Amino acid sequence: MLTRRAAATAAAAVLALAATLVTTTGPVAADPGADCPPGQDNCHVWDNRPGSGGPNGGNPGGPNGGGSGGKRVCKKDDGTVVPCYDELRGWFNSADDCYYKVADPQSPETPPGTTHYVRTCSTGGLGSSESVFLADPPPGFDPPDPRQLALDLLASVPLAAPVIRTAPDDTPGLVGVPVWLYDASSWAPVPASDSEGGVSVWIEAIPTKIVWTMGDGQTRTCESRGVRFRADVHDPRRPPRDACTHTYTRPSDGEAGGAYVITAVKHFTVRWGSNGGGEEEPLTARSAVAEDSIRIDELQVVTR
Amino acid sequence: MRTWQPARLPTILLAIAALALGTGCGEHPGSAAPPAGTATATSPDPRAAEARQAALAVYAGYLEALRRAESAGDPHDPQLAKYLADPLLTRVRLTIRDAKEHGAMRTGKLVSDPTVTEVSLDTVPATVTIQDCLDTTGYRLVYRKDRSVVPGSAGGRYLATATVTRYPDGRWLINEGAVHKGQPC
Repeated sequence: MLTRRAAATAAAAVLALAATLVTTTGPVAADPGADCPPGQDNCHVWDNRPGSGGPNGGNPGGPNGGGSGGKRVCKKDDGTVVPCYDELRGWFNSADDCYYKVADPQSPETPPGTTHYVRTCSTGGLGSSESVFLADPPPGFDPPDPRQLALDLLASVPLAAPVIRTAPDDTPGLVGVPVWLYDASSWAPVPASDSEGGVSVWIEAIPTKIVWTMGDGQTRTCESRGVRFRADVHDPRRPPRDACTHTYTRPSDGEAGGAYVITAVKHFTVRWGSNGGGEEEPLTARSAVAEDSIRIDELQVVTR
Repeated sequence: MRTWQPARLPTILLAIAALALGTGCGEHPGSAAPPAGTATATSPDPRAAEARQAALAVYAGYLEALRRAESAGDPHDPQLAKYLADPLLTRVRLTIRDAKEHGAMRTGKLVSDPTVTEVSLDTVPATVTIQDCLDTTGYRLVYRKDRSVVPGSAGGRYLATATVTRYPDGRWLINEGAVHKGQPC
């Protein structure tokens, strides 16, 4: 049971002890303030022992780990060339020879107007990674633009084009009778994520509407995929509220090919966010265009 | 949320029992380490009990994730980020990578006996402090090649502390933690 004060005293004692240990037991800790994480005793055991990556602190997480930082050359004060970006430590700041990465997740204690960074200053093995809160990114901090990353990701995600189902389908429709429009493609949200240069982005493309051009100069915008017409359930002249329909006023025999060309495009709102900034203003996107055609005949007089 | 609900009933019963007995300087049944100087010590608050449980579960999850990530030598093990937040997350990952780059890994068993020493729900952020007499005697740092123990890496029983913080999205994550080599236990 520790009170705050007792804890503080104990911590001070630990620090003092640690300091003594460093001076008395030889090559242990380079930084007496950097205690090892729970379960990772002796995290300093490699300090002053060259690793496979040499004195630069090891493998910089791939030759092009930094993306946009790949071309830059980063040097420490003593002239040693170091990777400008390290996948765990972040971006190198030559002003203080420390690496900075945006903390993941951001601390709830992050003061407004600042960003929570993790600063890792070390020459060899494990340094001390500490939180710092900065209003502006430190020098050398050059991650890819999250918005651009999100846009690139969005461009790489296939957004299913509509699959047009009309009713009637095989037989011509009639002037004055609603044509039922239905999109058989998936309307499930499309999630994706990517990360590069320490920036992680996620997107979620959510279908919001479908815009139909009907070939007669009219467009129909529907906020759902529509209702698929079923002869045993529906009366074509009485579409339910959530159905998406269009009623032609002229027959299609004057059109090229004798039919109206129908196109459909799905529109998406794309939620997105990054590890640095949380959720952002959504983007918008569209699917590819789907095309179909429909013949419309003059309404015949039907007698019963 | 739902996971913790079964825990609520006993807590409430405890609270009722405590009231019936007339609390004060009496014992606090079931509270392993009533923190001194916090409001939660005198009023058994179901929220505090929930926080305690959540924090201990996260701490146990961390040790398990750590064991797996260290034996696999994978600093990017996604389980780590389930329990850890920066700056501790980065420190843990760097330590794993450091061992890996030296051809070493950690293997064996961690023996943990954690207690909650402080629950602070009225602060922003809410935090729970855990202390543990963590025994790493059987948790060895060995060279992957021949399983020989890395010189100078013997473990032991030392006091470890961890701060479990509640993040705005509701998750409890350990963002600070250390093993205190100066405090054997």
